[in-house]
Amino acid sequence: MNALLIVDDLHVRFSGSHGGTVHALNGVHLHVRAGEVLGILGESGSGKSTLAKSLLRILPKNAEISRGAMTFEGRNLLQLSEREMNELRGARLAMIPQDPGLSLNPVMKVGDQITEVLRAHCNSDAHRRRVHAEDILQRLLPGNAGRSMYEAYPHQLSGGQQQRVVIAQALACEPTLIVADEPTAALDAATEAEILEVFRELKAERRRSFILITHDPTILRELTDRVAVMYAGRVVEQGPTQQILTHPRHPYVKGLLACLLPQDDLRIPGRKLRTIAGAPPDPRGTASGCNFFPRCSERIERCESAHPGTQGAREDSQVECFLYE
Amino acid sequence: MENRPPANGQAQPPVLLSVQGLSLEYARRHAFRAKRTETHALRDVSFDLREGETLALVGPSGSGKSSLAKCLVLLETPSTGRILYRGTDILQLPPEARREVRGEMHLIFQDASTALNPRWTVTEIVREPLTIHSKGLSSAESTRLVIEALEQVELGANWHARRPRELSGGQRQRVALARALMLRPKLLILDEALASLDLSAQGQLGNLLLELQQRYAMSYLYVTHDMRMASVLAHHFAVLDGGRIVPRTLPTELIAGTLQPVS
Repeated sequence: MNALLIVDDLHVRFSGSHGGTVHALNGVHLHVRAGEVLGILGESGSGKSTLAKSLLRILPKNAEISRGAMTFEGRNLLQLSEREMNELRGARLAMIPQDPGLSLNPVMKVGDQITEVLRAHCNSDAHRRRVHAEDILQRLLPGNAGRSMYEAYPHQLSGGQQQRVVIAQALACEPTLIVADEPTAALDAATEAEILEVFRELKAERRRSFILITHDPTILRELTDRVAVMYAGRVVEQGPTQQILTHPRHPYVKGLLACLLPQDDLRIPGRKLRTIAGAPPDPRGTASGCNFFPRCSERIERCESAHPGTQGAREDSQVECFLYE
Repeated sequence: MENRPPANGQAQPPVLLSVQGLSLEYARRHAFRAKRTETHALRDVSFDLREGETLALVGPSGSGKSSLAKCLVLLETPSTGRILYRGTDILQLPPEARREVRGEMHLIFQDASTALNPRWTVTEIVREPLTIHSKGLSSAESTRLVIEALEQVELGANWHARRPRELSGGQRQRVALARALMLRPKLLILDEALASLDLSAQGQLGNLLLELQQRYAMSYLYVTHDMRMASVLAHHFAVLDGGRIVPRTLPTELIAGTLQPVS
C-alpha cells in the first residue's frame, strides 16, 4: 500500500488526577494516501481530537501513547526526537485547530503570524516571506482584501477571516498532510459554508492530503474521499465516502446517519426524532466485548464477551462487527 | 384553560406571547472620545407565539437572537415596544407582578456547563427555583417535586448526587430542563439549547421537548441557526437578520443537512 500516513493499533491513555485511567484511543488503524482527503467522523468523546494531537505529538503531559505506530512518509513518528518532530510540524505536517480565535496571537499582526511559520522552516529573506504570506492571504480571501489583511490584528477580523488566516498558516510551507480539527465548529452557518468552499478548492488542487475531523456527517459528502467513523476510541467502520454515507454497515454508523434522514412531520402527536438509545460508554472502563454492545439494536450473544476486531480486507473497506464476518 | 381550541384542531390556539415593535440599543462609550456609539441589536421586532406551538427564530450570529431572548425574560430592557404575555404588557408591570410572570417563562442557555453551578449537586440545582419563588412548601414536598422533574427528563436516582462536571453534555442540558420545569412554565425560550450536543443526544432531547410540549401544552421559542433541527421541531419560522425580522419564505435548500435514505 502506497500510503503517506499509516496509523497502526494506536492506543492512548490519560492518567486522571483523581485516579482512574481514561482510555481515549483503543487500537486505531487508518491510512491516508497522497492527495487524498480522509474524513474522521465521531461524536464528542470518541477520540477524534486525541487522534489529531497524537499525530502531531502535541498531547498533554498526562497522556501516554501506550502502544502502536504512526508511519508518516516512511518514518515512525513515535521514534523521532523532539527536534526532528519540530522540523516536521508546520513544514510537512500541519494542523488547523478548532477555534481560530484562541490559536492566534492577539498582539501580533496576522501577516507576521504567517511569516513566522515561514521563518521557522524555510530559508528565504524577509521581503520574500512577506510577499509569500500576502500571496497566500490573497488566494484565500475574496476580492483584494489580502494585502490589507496582512496588517490587521486578530480582533479586527471576523470569525471566518480568522479561520482563513489559520488556514494560511497551515498552507504556508506547503505541507504534505494537514490535519483540520473541526475547522468550522466555531462558525455560524453562513461562514461555515464559505470556509467549506475554501476546502473544496484546496481539495480540487490535489497537492496535499487532508485529515478532516468533524462530528457533522453532512460536511463529509463533498469534501472527503474516504471516511473513518470513530466510536469509543476505535475506528468502527471505514471506507469510501459514498459507500459509508449511503450504505453504512456498522449498527452505530447506521444509527448515526439515520438521525439525519428526513423526518416525519413531528407536529403530528406521538411522532419522534430518530435517535440512538443510551449514551457512549465511560472511557475509564475497558469493555471485554464490543464497546457499542449496550446500545446496539442488532447485537448477538457473542458481542458482550468478545471483541469483533476488524472485518474485511486490510485495504479499504473495513467494519468492526460480527455481523460481517 | 379558557379559550381552549375546538376539538377538530382547525381553529388556532390563543396567542400566549405577542411581541410588538421591540427595539434594543447597546450604548458603547469610547475611552478617549466624548461621543457614544449605539449598536442597534433589535429594530422594530414583532411576532406572535400561540399556546402549545413552537416558533423557530433563525438567523446568523450577531443577528440579535440572544438579545431578543434576554428581553423576553426581562434581563435586558428594550427602548421601545411591548411584550404582551396573555395580553398584559410585562414591561409595564410592577416588580411583584413581574416576578409572578417570570415564573411562567424560562430561558435555557446554549451551554449548560456554564449555566449550572459547578459546586452544587443535581438535586440542589433543580431545587433552586422552588426556593427562590418559594410557595411555602415543606421540604418533603419540594423533594418530591425535584424527583418528579428529574424523572420527566429521564435522569434516574443514581445521577441525583452528581455535580455538573460529572455529567455528559446531554445530561447537563437535561438538568437545565428539569430546573426550568420546576415552576410549570407556559413558555420555554431555548437559546441554541441543542447546539452544543452530538447528533444522537440532540435527537433524544428533541424528543423530550416534543413529549413535554404535548403533555403540558407548553410554547417554545426555539432560537437557533440549525435549520435542520428547526425544521423538525417548529410550527412557524421567523428569520432575524441585522436585528430585524425579515419577511422570507424558507427555500427547501436552506433546510440543509438531510442525506439520502439508506436503501
